[in-house]
Amino acid sequence: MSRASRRGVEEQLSAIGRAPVPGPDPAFVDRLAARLGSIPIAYELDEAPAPRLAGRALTPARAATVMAAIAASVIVVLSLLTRPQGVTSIGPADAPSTTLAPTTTTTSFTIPPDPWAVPTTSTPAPGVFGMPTTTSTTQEPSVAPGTTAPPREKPPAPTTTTVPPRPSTTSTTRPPPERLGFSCRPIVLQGRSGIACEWSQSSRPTFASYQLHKATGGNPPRVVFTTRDRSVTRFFDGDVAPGGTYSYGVRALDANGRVIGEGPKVTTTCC
Amino acid sequence: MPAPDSLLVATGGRTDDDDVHALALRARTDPRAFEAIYRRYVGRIHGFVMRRSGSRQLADEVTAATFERAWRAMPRFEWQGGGIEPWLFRIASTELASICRREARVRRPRAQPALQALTGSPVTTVDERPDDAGVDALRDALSTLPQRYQQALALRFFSGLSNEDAAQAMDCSRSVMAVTVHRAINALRRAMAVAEEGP
Repeated sequence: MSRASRRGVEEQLSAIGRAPVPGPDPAFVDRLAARLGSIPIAYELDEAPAPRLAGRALTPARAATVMAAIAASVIVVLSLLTRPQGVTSIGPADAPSTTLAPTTTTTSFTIPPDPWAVPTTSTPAPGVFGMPTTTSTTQEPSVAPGTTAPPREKPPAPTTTTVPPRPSTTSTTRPPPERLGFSCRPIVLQGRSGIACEWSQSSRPTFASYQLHKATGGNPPRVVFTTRDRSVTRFFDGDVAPGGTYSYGVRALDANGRVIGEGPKVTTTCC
Repeated sequence: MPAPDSLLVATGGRTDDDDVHALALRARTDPRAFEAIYRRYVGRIHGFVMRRSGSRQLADEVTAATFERAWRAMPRFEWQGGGIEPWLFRIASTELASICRREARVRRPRAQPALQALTGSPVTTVDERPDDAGVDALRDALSTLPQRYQQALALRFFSGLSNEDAAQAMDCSRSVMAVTVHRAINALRRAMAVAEEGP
Protein backbone atom coordinates (compact mmCIF):
# COMPACT_ATOMS: atom_id res chain seq x y z
CA MET A 1 0.00 0.00 0.00
CA SER A 2 1.60 3.24 -1.11
CA ARG A 3 0.66 6.24 0.88
CA ALA A 4 0.94 9.83 -0.19
CA SER A 5 3.25 11.75 2.06
CA ARG A 6 1.69 13.81 4.79
CA ARG A 7 3.16 17.00 3.39
CA GLY A 8 1.90 16.08 -0.07
CA VAL A 9 -1.65 15.67 1.20
CA GLU A 10 -1.48 18.95 3.09
CA GLU A 11 -0.21 20.74 0.00
CA GLN A 12 -2.97 19.23 -2.09
CA LEU A 13 -5.57 20.41 0.40
CA SER A 14 -4.03 23.87 0.57
CA ALA A 15 -3.96 24.11 -3.22
CA ILE A 16 -7.68 23.35 -3.39
CA GLY A 17 -8.29 25.96 -0.69
CA ARG A 18 -6.35 28.59 -2.64
CA ALA A 19 -7.85 27.82 -6.02
CA PRO A 20 -10.32 30.42 -7.26
CA VAL A 21 -13.87 29.19 -7.51
CA PRO A 22 -16.77 30.76 -9.35
CA GLY A 23 -19.10 32.69 -7.11
CA PRO A 24 -22.74 31.86 -6.70
CA ASP A 25 -25.09 32.80 -9.48
CA PRO A 26 -26.69 36.18 -8.59
CA ALA A 27 -30.06 34.80 -9.62
CA PHE A 28 -29.54 31.93 -7.19
CA VAL A 29 -28.65 34.38 -4.42
CA ASP A 30 -31.79 36.40 -5.02
CA ARG A 31 -33.96 33.31 -5.31
CA LEU A 32 -32.60 31.98 -2.05
CA ALA A 33 -33.16 35.33 -0.35
CA ALA A 34 -36.77 35.28 -1.48
CA ARG A 35 -37.16 31.69 -0.31
CA LEU A 36 -35.70 32.47 3.07
CA GLY A 37 -38.04 35.38 3.34
CA SER A 38 -41.01 33.16 2.72
CA ILE A 39 -40.16 30.92 5.66
CA PRO A 40 -42.15 32.05 8.66
CA ILE A 41 -39.94 33.52 11.27
CA ALA A 42 -40.03 31.10 14.12
CA TYR A 43 -38.69 33.40 16.73
CA GLU A 44 -38.31 31.60 19.98
CA LEU A 45 -40.36 33.41 22.48
CA ASP A 46 -38.50 34.33 25.56
CA GLU A 47 -40.01 32.89 28.62
CA ALA A 48 -42.33 35.59 29.82
CA PRO A 49 -41.63 36.24 33.47
CA ALA A 50 -44.29 34.76 35.68
CA PRO A 51 -46.65 37.39 37.00
CA ARG A 52 -45.97 38.27 40.59
CA LEU A 53 -48.09 39.68 43.31
CA ALA A 54 -46.71 40.95 46.59
CA GLY A 55 -43.36 39.40 45.84
CA ARG A 56 -44.62 35.91 45.10
CA ALA A 57 -45.43 34.18 41.85
CA LEU A 58 -49.04 34.58 40.92
CA THR A 59 -50.16 31.08 40.08
CA PRO A 60 -53.70 30.52 38.78
CA ALA A 61 -54.69 29.03 42.12
CA ARG A 62 -53.31 31.98 44.01
CA ALA A 63 -54.92 34.39 41.60
CA ALA A 64 -58.25 32.71 42.24
CA THR A 65 -57.74 33.03 45.99
CA VAL A 66 -56.83 36.69 45.68
CA MET A 67 -59.83 37.40 43.48
CA ALA A 68 -62.11 35.60 45.92
CA ALA A 69 -60.71 37.68 48.75
CA ILE A 70 -61.23 40.84 46.75
CA ALA A 71 -64.78 39.85 45.92
CA ALA A 72 -65.50 39.12 49.58
CA SER A 73 -64.13 42.48 50.68
CA VAL A 74 -66.16 44.22 47.97
CA ILE A 75 -69.31 42.58 49.26
CA VAL A 76 -68.49 43.65 52.81
CA VAL A 77 -67.81 47.22 51.72
CA LEU A 78 -70.99 47.33 49.70
CA SER A 79 -73.05 46.01 52.55
CA LEU A 80 -71.59 48.72 54.80
CA LEU A 81 -72.14 51.44 52.27
CA THR A 82 -75.70 50.51 51.47
CA ARG A 83 -76.80 50.78 55.10
CA PRO A 84 -79.06 53.83 55.64
CA GLN A 85 -76.34 56.03 57.10
CA GLY A 86 -76.79 58.97 54.77
CA VAL A 87 -74.65 57.42 52.19
CA THR A 88 -76.13 58.14 48.86
CA SER A 89 -73.91 56.52 46.37
CA ILE A 90 -70.60 55.15 45.60
CA GLY A 91 -68.68 56.16 42.60
CA PRO A 92 -65.36 56.83 41.06
CA ALA A 93 -62.80 59.15 42.46
CA ASP A 94 -64.03 62.20 40.67
CA ALA A 95 -67.59 61.82 41.85
CA PRO A 96 -69.20 64.81 43.62
CA SER A 97 -68.10 65.45 47.15
CA THR A 98 -71.48 64.47 48.55
CA THR A 99 -70.74 60.92 47.66
CA LEU A 100 -68.74 58.65 49.81
CA ALA A 101 -66.28 57.01 47.56
CA PRO A 102 -63.01 55.25 48.13
CA THR A 103 -61.20 58.09 46.50
CA THR A 104 -57.77 57.07 47.67
CA THR A 105 -58.00 53.64 46.23
CA THR A 106 -55.37 52.84 43.65
CA THR A 107 -54.97 49.53 42.05
CA SER A 108 -51.45 48.56 42.86
CA PHE A 109 -51.01 45.28 41.12
CA THR A 110 -51.31 44.29 37.55
CA ILE A 111 -51.76 40.81 36.31
CA PRO A 112 -50.49 40.66 32.77
CA PRO A 113 -53.70 39.73 31.07
CA ASP A 114 -54.42 38.59 27.61
CA PRO A 115 -53.58 41.52 25.45
CA TRP A 116 -56.43 43.80 24.67
CA ALA A 117 -58.73 41.76 26.84
CA VAL A 118 -58.87 43.80 30.02
CA PRO A 119 -57.37 47.19 30.61
CA THR A 120 -54.29 46.80 32.73
CA THR A 121 -53.96 50.38 33.77
CA SER A 122 -53.36 50.93 37.41
CA THR A 123 -55.62 53.95 37.68
CA PRO A 124 -59.03 53.03 36.40
CA ALA A 125 -60.85 55.42 34.20
CA PRO A 126 -64.32 56.44 35.27
CA GLY A 127 -66.97 54.40 33.63
CA VAL A 128 -64.59 51.76 32.55
CA PHE A 129 -63.28 50.10 35.59
CA GLY A 130 -65.54 51.43 38.31
CA MET A 131 -69.18 52.07 38.60
CA PRO A 132 -70.95 52.87 35.37
CA THR A 133 -71.32 56.61 35.12
CA THR A 134 -75.00 56.38 34.32
CA THR A 135 -75.83 54.89 37.71
CA SER A 136 -73.22 56.46 39.85
CA THR A 137 -75.08 59.19 41.66
CA THR A 138 -78.45 59.27 43.30
CA GLN A 139 -78.61 62.70 44.87
CA GLU A 140 -80.51 62.90 48.16
CA PRO A 141 -83.31 65.42 47.72
CA SER A 142 -82.89 68.38 49.97
CA VAL A 143 -85.49 68.72 52.69
CA ALA A 144 -86.41 72.05 54.14
CA PRO A 145 -86.32 72.35 57.94
CA GLY A 146 -89.65 71.72 59.57
CA THR A 147 -91.16 69.91 56.69
CA THR A 148 -91.89 66.30 56.47
CA ALA A 149 -89.57 64.44 54.42
CA PRO A 150 -91.14 62.33 51.73
CA PRO A 151 -90.89 58.65 52.21
CA ARG A 152 -87.44 57.62 51.46
CA GLU A 153 -87.05 55.65 48.34
CA LYS A 154 -85.30 52.41 48.79
CA PRO A 155 -81.97 52.57 47.09
CA PRO A 156 -81.49 50.11 44.28
CA ALA A 157 -79.96 46.88 45.29
CA PRO A 158 -76.31 46.66 44.43
CA THR A 159 -75.53 44.67 41.39
CA THR A 160 -72.35 43.32 40.02
CA THR A 161 -72.00 46.33 37.80
CA THR A 162 -71.62 48.60 40.77
CA VAL A 163 -68.22 47.32 41.79
CA PRO A 164 -65.99 50.11 43.02
CA PRO A 165 -62.43 50.39 41.86
CA ARG A 166 -60.35 47.48 42.96
CA PRO A 167 -59.06 47.92 46.45
CA SER A 168 -55.41 48.12 47.03
CA THR A 169 -53.68 45.04 48.35
CA THR A 170 -50.28 46.60 48.84
CA SER A 171 -49.24 50.06 49.72
CA THR A 172 -46.92 50.69 46.77
CA THR A 173 -48.19 52.55 43.75
CA ARG A 174 -46.73 52.43 40.27
CA PRO A 175 -46.97 54.91 37.49
CA PRO A 176 -49.40 54.11 34.73
CA PRO A 177 -48.00 52.40 31.64
CA GLU A 178 -46.17 54.63 29.28
CA ARG A 179 -47.91 55.31 26.01
CA LEU A 180 -45.82 53.91 23.16
CA GLY A 181 -46.13 55.21 19.65
CA PHE A 182 -47.02 52.32 17.39
CA SER A 183 -47.79 51.94 13.73
CA CYS A 184 -47.94 49.15 11.20
CA ARG A 185 -48.01 49.33 7.44
CA PRO A 186 -47.84 46.90 4.56
CA ILE A 187 -44.52 46.94 2.74
CA VAL A 188 -42.70 44.89 0.18
CA LEU A 189 -39.32 43.70 1.34
CA GLN A 190 -37.12 42.12 -1.30
CA GLY A 191 -40.13 41.14 -3.32
CA ARG A 192 -41.80 39.72 -0.28
CA SER A 193 -44.98 41.27 0.99
CA GLY A 194 -45.47 41.73 4.66
CA ILE A 195 -46.36 44.14 7.39
CA ALA A 196 -43.78 46.28 9.09
CA CYS A 197 -44.49 47.51 12.60
CA GLU A 198 -42.58 50.21 14.39
CA TRP A 199 -42.90 51.54 17.87
CA SER A 200 -41.32 54.19 19.98
CA GLN A 201 -38.59 53.21 22.36
CA SER A 202 -39.55 52.74 25.98
CA SER A 203 -38.05 55.30 28.29
CA ARG A 204 -38.74 53.45 31.50
CA PRO A 205 -35.64 52.45 33.45
CA THR A 206 -37.34 49.24 34.50
CA PHE A 207 -37.70 48.11 30.88
CA ALA A 208 -37.04 44.41 30.36
CA SER A 209 -38.64 43.43 27.06
CA TYR A 210 -41.03 44.27 24.28
CA GLN A 211 -43.81 41.98 23.20
CA LEU A 212 -45.57 42.26 19.89
CA HIS A 213 -48.98 40.67 19.58
CA LYS A 214 -50.84 39.75 16.47
CA ALA A 215 -54.45 38.78 15.98
CA THR A 216 -56.32 37.78 12.90
CA GLY A 217 -59.72 36.50 11.93
CA GLY A 218 -61.26 36.79 15.34
CA ASN A 219 -58.59 34.61 16.89
CA PRO A 220 -57.15 35.74 20.18
CA PRO A 221 -53.93 37.66 19.87
CA ARG A 222 -50.70 35.77 20.27
CA VAL A 223 -47.19 36.92 20.89
CA VAL A 224 -45.25 36.86 17.65
CA PHE A 225 -42.15 38.64 18.72
CA THR A 226 -40.26 39.27 21.92
CA THR A 227 -37.00 41.06 22.43
CA ARG A 228 -35.06 42.25 25.41
CA ASP A 229 -33.23 44.82 23.38
CA ARG A 230 -34.63 48.24 24.10
CA SER A 231 -33.32 49.65 20.86
CA VAL A 232 -35.14 47.10 18.70
CA THR A 233 -38.23 48.93 17.70
CA ARG A 234 -39.13 47.32 14.40
CA PHE A 235 -40.56 44.06 13.26
CA PHE A 236 -41.31 42.73 9.83
CA ASP A 237 -44.07 40.18 9.71
CA GLY A 238 -43.83 38.07 6.59
CA ASP A 239 -46.36 35.55 7.82
CA VAL A 240 -49.29 37.29 6.23
CA ALA A 241 -51.68 36.53 3.41
CA PRO A 242 -52.53 39.01 0.69
CA GLY A 243 -55.74 40.77 1.54
CA GLY A 244 -55.65 39.55 5.12
CA THR A 245 -56.46 41.90 7.94
CA TYR A 246 -54.28 41.75 10.99
CA SER A 247 -54.27 43.52 14.30
CA TYR A 248 -51.11 44.25 16.19
CA GLY A 249 -50.29 45.56 19.59
CA VAL A 250 -47.07 46.21 21.45
CA ARG A 251 -46.28 46.21 25.11
CA ALA A 252 -43.21 46.92 27.16
CA LEU A 253 -42.74 44.79 30.22
CA ASP A 254 -40.53 45.06 33.25
CA ALA A 255 -38.56 42.18 34.70
CA ASN A 256 -41.57 41.01 36.65
CA GLY A 257 -43.77 40.89 33.58
CA ARG A 258 -45.69 44.00 34.49
CA VAL A 259 -46.87 46.18 31.67
CA ILE A 260 -44.91 49.41 31.80
CA GLY A 261 -45.69 50.60 28.29
CA GLU A 262 -48.36 49.97 25.77
CA GLY A 263 -49.10 51.04 22.25
CA PRO A 264 -52.50 51.34 20.63
CA LYS A 265 -54.02 48.42 18.83
CA VAL A 266 -53.38 48.83 15.13
CA THR A 267 -55.29 47.05 12.42
CA THR A 268 -53.94 46.88 8.91
CA THR A 269 -54.71 45.05 5.73
CA CYS A 270 -51.92 43.34 3.98
CA CYS A 271 -50.60 44.08 0.57
CA MET B 1 -25.99 41.87 -6.94
CA PRO B 2 -27.51 44.54 -4.75
CA ALA B 3 -25.39 46.07 -2.07
CA PRO B 4 -25.75 44.22 1.19
CA ASP B 5 -27.48 46.95 3.08
CA SER B 6 -29.21 48.72 0.27
CA LEU B 7 -32.51 47.59 1.60
CA LEU B 8 -31.77 48.95 5.01
CA VAL B 9 -30.89 52.28 3.56
CA ALA B 10 -33.98 52.24 1.39
CA THR B 11 -36.23 51.60 4.35
CA GLY B 12 -34.56 54.12 6.55
CA GLY B 13 -32.83 51.59 8.75
CA ARG B 14 -29.62 52.43 10.49
CA THR B 15 -26.72 50.06 10.24
CA ASP B 16 -22.99 50.19 10.14
CA ASP B 17 -21.89 47.95 7.32
CA ASP B 18 -18.67 47.12 9.09
CA ASP B 19 -20.19 46.42 12.40
CA VAL B 20 -20.91 42.75 11.96
CA HIS B 21 -21.36 42.30 15.65
CA ALA B 22 -24.20 44.77 15.87
CA LEU B 23 -25.65 43.45 12.63
CA ALA B 24 -25.63 39.88 13.92
CA LEU B 25 -27.29 40.85 17.16
CA ARG B 26 -29.92 42.78 15.30
CA ALA B 27 -30.44 39.86 12.92
CA ARG B 28 -31.82 37.87 15.83
CA THR B 29 -34.90 39.98 15.65
CA ASP B 30 -34.70 41.93 12.44
CA PRO B 31 -35.08 40.03 9.15
CA ARG B 32 -33.51 42.88 7.25
CA ALA B 33 -30.34 42.59 9.27
CA PHE B 34 -30.33 38.87 8.61
CA GLU B 35 -30.59 39.56 4.92
CA ALA B 36 -27.56 41.80 5.14
CA ILE B 37 -25.69 38.99 6.89
CA TYR B 38 -26.84 36.57 4.23
CA ARG B 39 -25.62 38.72 1.38
CA ARG B 40 -22.35 39.31 3.14
CA TYR B 41 -21.52 35.64 3.63
CA VAL B 42 -23.36 33.78 0.89
CA GLY B 43 -20.38 34.01 -1.47
CA ARG B 44 -17.93 32.68 1.09
CA ILE B 45 -20.13 29.81 2.14
CA HIS B 46 -20.78 28.94 -1.48
CA GLY B 47 -17.06 29.05 -2.27
CA PHE B 48 -16.29 26.91 0.74
CA VAL B 49 -18.63 24.20 -0.49
CA MET B 50 -17.40 24.54 -4.06
CA ARG B 51 -13.83 23.90 -2.94
CA ARG B 52 -14.84 20.93 -0.89
CA SER B 53 -17.18 19.31 -3.40
CA GLY B 54 -16.23 20.75 -6.78
CA SER B 55 -19.89 20.84 -7.60
CA ARG B 56 -21.95 23.95 -8.13
CA GLN B 57 -25.13 21.98 -7.70
CA LEU B 58 -23.99 20.74 -4.33
CA ALA B 59 -22.72 24.19 -3.40
CA ASP B 60 -26.16 25.64 -4.13
CA GLU B 61 -27.82 22.92 -2.13
CA VAL B 62 -25.57 23.24 0.90
CA THR B 63 -25.63 27.02 0.83
CA ALA B 64 -29.41 27.03 0.78
CA ALA B 65 -29.56 24.49 3.61
CA THR B 66 -27.02 26.44 5.62
CA PHE B 67 -28.83 29.74 5.47
CA GLU B 68 -32.17 28.11 6.02
CA ARG B 69 -30.89 26.55 9.22
CA ALA B 70 -29.22 29.79 10.22
CA TRP B 71 -32.43 31.69 9.55
CA ARG B 72 -34.40 29.38 11.78
CA ALA B 73 -31.77 29.37 14.51
CA MET B 74 -31.01 33.07 14.38
CA PRO B 75 -33.26 34.10 17.25
CA ARG B 76 -31.24 31.84 19.53
CA PHE B 77 -27.88 33.01 18.22
CA GLU B 78 -25.43 34.06 20.91
CA TRP B 79 -22.28 35.92 20.00
CA GLN B 80 -19.32 33.82 21.10
CA GLY B 81 -15.68 34.03 20.13
CA GLY B 82 -15.46 34.75 16.43
CA GLY B 83 -19.16 35.43 16.21
CA ILE B 84 -21.39 34.91 13.23
CA GLU B 85 -18.75 33.77 10.74
CA PRO B 86 -17.58 30.58 12.49
CA TRP B 87 -21.20 29.92 13.40
CA LEU B 88 -22.25 29.95 9.75
CA PHE B 89 -19.29 27.84 8.72
CA ARG B 90 -20.09 25.34 11.44
CA ILE B 91 -23.59 24.93 10.05
CA ALA B 92 -22.24 24.71 6.52
CA SER B 93 -19.60 22.13 7.36
CA THR B 94 -22.14 19.94 9.14
CA GLU B 95 -24.49 20.10 6.18
CA LEU B 96 -21.65 19.55 3.80
CA ALA B 97 -20.28 16.49 5.57
CA SER B 98 -23.63 14.78 5.68
CA ILE B 99 -24.39 15.52 2.03
CA CYS B 100 -20.91 14.53 0.89
CA ARG B 101 -21.19 11.22 2.67
CA ARG B 102 -24.48 10.59 0.91
CA GLU B 103 -22.99 11.58 -2.43
CA ALA B 104 -19.97 9.36 -1.88
CA ARG B 105 -22.24 6.41 -1.27
CA VAL B 106 -24.10 7.09 -4.48
CA ARG B 107 -20.90 7.37 -6.48
CA ARG B 108 -19.51 4.05 -5.30
CA PRO B 109 -19.06 1.65 -8.21
CA ARG B 110 -21.30 -0.94 -6.62
CA ALA B 111 -24.10 1.56 -6.09
CA GLN B 112 -24.20 2.79 -9.66
CA PRO B 113 -25.77 -0.25 -11.37
CA ALA B 114 -28.40 -0.55 -8.65
CA LEU B 115 -29.38 3.09 -8.85
CA GLN B 116 -29.36 2.97 -12.62
CA ALA B 117 -31.74 0.02 -12.49
CA LEU B 118 -34.01 1.92 -10.17
CA THR B 119 -34.06 5.18 -12.05
CA GLY B 120 -33.65 3.83 -15.56
CA SER B 121 -31.02 6.39 -16.38
CA PRO B 122 -27.39 7.05 -15.52
CA VAL B 123 -27.09 8.53 -12.08
CA THR B 124 -25.42 11.88 -12.03
CA THR B 125 -25.41 13.31 -8.59
CA VAL B 126 -22.90 16.04 -9.15
CA ASP B 127 -22.31 18.16 -12.17
CA GLU B 128 -19.23 17.87 -14.28
CA ARG B 129 -16.03 18.39 -12.46
CA PRO B 130 -13.31 20.04 -14.44
CA ASP B 131 -10.76 19.33 -11.74
CA ASP B 132 -8.07 16.79 -12.24
CA ALA B 133 -8.38 13.19 -11.20
CA GLY B 134 -6.08 13.65 -8.21
CA VAL B 135 -8.32 16.29 -6.71
CA ASP B 136 -11.36 14.12 -7.35
CA ALA B 137 -9.69 11.18 -5.63
CA LEU B 138 -8.81 13.34 -2.67
CA ARG B 139 -12.37 14.64 -2.37
CA ASP B 140 -13.80 11.16 -2.62
CA ALA B 141 -11.41 9.88 0.02
CA LEU B 142 -12.34 12.85 2.20
CA SER B 143 -15.98 11.85 1.95
CA THR B 144 -15.24 8.46 3.49
CA LEU B 145 -13.80 9.95 6.67
CA PRO B 146 -15.77 10.36 9.87
CA GLN B 147 -17.80 13.53 9.88
CA ARG B 148 -15.62 15.25 12.43
CA TYR B 149 -12.50 14.70 10.36
CA GLN B 150 -14.23 15.95 7.24
CA GLN B 151 -15.33 19.07 9.05
CA ALA B 152 -11.90 19.70 10.52
CA LEU B 153 -10.12 19.43 7.17
CA ALA B 154 -12.70 21.42 5.27
CA LEU B 155 -12.71 24.22 7.82
CA ARG B 156 -8.94 24.25 8.11
CA PHE B 157 -8.14 24.26 4.40
CA PHE B 158 -11.18 25.41 2.42
CA SER B 159 -12.99 27.99 4.51
CA GLY B 160 -10.45 30.79 4.62
CA LEU B 161 -11.06 31.10 8.35
CA SER B 162 -8.22 31.78 10.72
CA ASN B 163 -7.08 28.86 12.87
CA GLU B 164 -8.82 30.47 15.80
CA ASP B 165 -12.11 30.84 13.94
CA ALA B 166 -11.84 27.37 12.41
CA ALA B 167 -11.48 25.95 15.91
CA GLN B 168 -14.43 28.07 16.97
CA ALA B 169 -16.45 26.66 14.09
CA MET B 170 -15.55 23.18 15.30
CA ASP B 171 -16.54 24.22 18.80
CA CYS B 172 -13.19 23.24 20.26
CA SER B 173 -9.91 24.78 21.33
CA ARG B 174 -7.07 25.47 18.94
CA SER B 175 -4.99 22.64 20.35
CA VAL B 176 -7.82 20.15 19.99
CA MET B 177 -8.38 21.42 16.47
CA ALA B 178 -4.70 20.89 15.63
CA VAL B 179 -4.81 17.33 16.92
CA THR B 180 -8.01 16.62 15.03
CA VAL B 181 -6.54 17.98 11.79
CA HIS B 182 -3.40 15.92 12.30
CA ARG B 183 -5.39 12.72 12.77
CA ALA B 184 -7.72 13.60 9.93
CA ILE B 185 -4.81 13.97 7.52
CA ASN B 186 -3.48 10.57 8.54
CA ALA B 187 -6.93 9.08 8.04
CA LEU B 188 -7.14 10.77 4.67
CA ARG B 189 -3.82 9.32 3.61
CA ARG B 190 -5.03 5.85 4.55
CA ALA B 191 -8.31 6.38 2.71
CA MET B 192 -6.50 7.55 -0.42
CA ALA B 193 -4.22 4.53 -0.29
CA VAL B 194 -7.19 2.19 0.02
CA ALA B 195 -8.91 3.90 -2.90
CA GLU B 196 -5.80 3.52 -5.04
CA GLU B 197 -5.77 -0.20 -4.42
CA GLY B 198 -9.31 -0.48 -5.63
CA PRO B 199 -12.15 -2.70 -4.48
